[in-house]
Amino acid sequence: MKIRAVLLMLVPVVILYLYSFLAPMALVGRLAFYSSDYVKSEFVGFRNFADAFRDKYFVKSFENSFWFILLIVPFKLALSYSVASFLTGFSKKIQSVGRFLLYVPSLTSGLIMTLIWAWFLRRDGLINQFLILAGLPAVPWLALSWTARFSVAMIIIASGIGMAVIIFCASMLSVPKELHDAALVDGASEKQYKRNILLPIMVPTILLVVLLQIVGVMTMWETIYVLTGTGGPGGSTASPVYDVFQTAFRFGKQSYAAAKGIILMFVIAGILLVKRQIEKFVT
Amino acid sequence: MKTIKLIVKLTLLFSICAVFLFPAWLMLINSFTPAKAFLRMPPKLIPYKFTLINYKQAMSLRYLPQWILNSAIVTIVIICAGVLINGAAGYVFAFAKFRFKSVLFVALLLPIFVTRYTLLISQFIIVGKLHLSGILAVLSMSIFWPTGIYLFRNYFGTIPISLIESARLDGAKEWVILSRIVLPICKPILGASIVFLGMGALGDFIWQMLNLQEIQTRTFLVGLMLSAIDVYAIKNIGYELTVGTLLFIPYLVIFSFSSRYFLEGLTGGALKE
Repeated sequence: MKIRAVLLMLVPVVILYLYSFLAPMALVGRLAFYSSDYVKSEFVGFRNFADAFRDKYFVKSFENSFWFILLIVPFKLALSYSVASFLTGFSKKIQSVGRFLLYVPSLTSGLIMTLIWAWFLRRDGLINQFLILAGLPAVPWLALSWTARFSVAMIIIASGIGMAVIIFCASMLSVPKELHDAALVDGASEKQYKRNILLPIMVPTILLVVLLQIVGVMTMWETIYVLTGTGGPGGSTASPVYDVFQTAFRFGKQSYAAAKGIILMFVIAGILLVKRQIEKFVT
Repeated sequence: MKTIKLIVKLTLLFSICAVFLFPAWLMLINSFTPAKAFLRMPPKLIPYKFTLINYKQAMSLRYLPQWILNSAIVTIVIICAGVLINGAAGYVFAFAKFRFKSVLFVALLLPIFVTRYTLLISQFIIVGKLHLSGILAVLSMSIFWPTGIYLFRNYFGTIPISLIESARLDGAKEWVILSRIVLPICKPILGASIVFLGMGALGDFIWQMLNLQEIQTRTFLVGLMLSAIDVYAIKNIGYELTVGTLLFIPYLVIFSFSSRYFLEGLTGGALKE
């Protein structure tokens, strides 16, 4: 390729890169070290970072994420893995129909899914009506911190296994068929094949899905915005991203929010590194 | 015996699907139901009393046609520009040789590891400083797609280089090779990028809401959404569900016409050994 053609093809992408990544990155880095004051913004060193670590709501948002990860990831993982493994046993046509049907809730954007769930979770909503029908007391789902967390977890699980199923399906289908046939010829049962051969092959994909879900939990925004408005009772459902968003656009403290955003970035980068280490360790 | 087993398995599969589809289904049928019927127990799986009143309310929104047009423009521009610009980068990294190529590649992929929300504030400040507002701000920040560059490069890498070289010998320009030869034979990755870019463009509520404050500049998503969750409006669950149903339609269009290629694009190459 001629160097001129290379330049011509790279210029648009490099401009957009500078504009939508590098410049914002530099600005965030600068903002984080200045005070949030609009009138006179002065250099404050690491004060925004120090404040963030003492910020009750920011710390709590990470704690929330921890609980959300425990509530959500195991279920979603087990569910999507077994559904994908079940789905790959069908013919191609049925597989694609199944994948599509399971993907529909993920296609319905998070905001709308949450609107529906908010309607289920009302005091006089569907879920409470079922509870009353079963002779149980109605639960004020969104008014207490634990039930609110539980509600959010339920929504995330119900509205999002589609993508994980698709990733698992893609990965399972790329395993060579000979492996399966050879195992059966050697006298392994279908169950043994799935447990002792397929599962170890799938470990990197499983780690990827876990990672995507952990990051998803820390950056969820729409569900909380629609469901609990300001972040649930006592800030018990706010994710770190939601806290950053609130700090910047509700309270107008952009520098402070920038510092929080940088901390969040390092946390996520840390999780990525841990994932890579685990991957190296197991494969 | 085999047939029975298959039927049992199929039933199981579709009941799993049905469980996950249940909320979406209730949304659909209840958008055709008058407000009073919502609290009836047990919930009906078909409309209790068919009505179009909620849809009439949505259709009576003054700017709805404008919003649909805005959304169409945003989605189409993001898909076309996104495929061409990121595809060109993928093409260069797959077929060109130059100094600092791998350094540049890694640098361009760096944004994958930075959460977008960290940058949201400063992106907002930057579009403000450049006096870009409304749709221009939305478009310009949404086209760069590092994951796409990576996917394109990997996929293009499986095309035999001889194909590119023979096109070059015939005197084709690189842009022409990309748009006339490479992209058309890479349908799976094209399908996957249409789904990703299109769904991103249609569902990017937070960025669009921040930038599209004026009512006539809003997209389908932002306009309808804000009309449904407006704190000052009279709460009408039927209307909210109608908005949900309406917002689902564009996704369905995008997904149904490129889903064939979607899975292949994520896993395969253009050629399999």
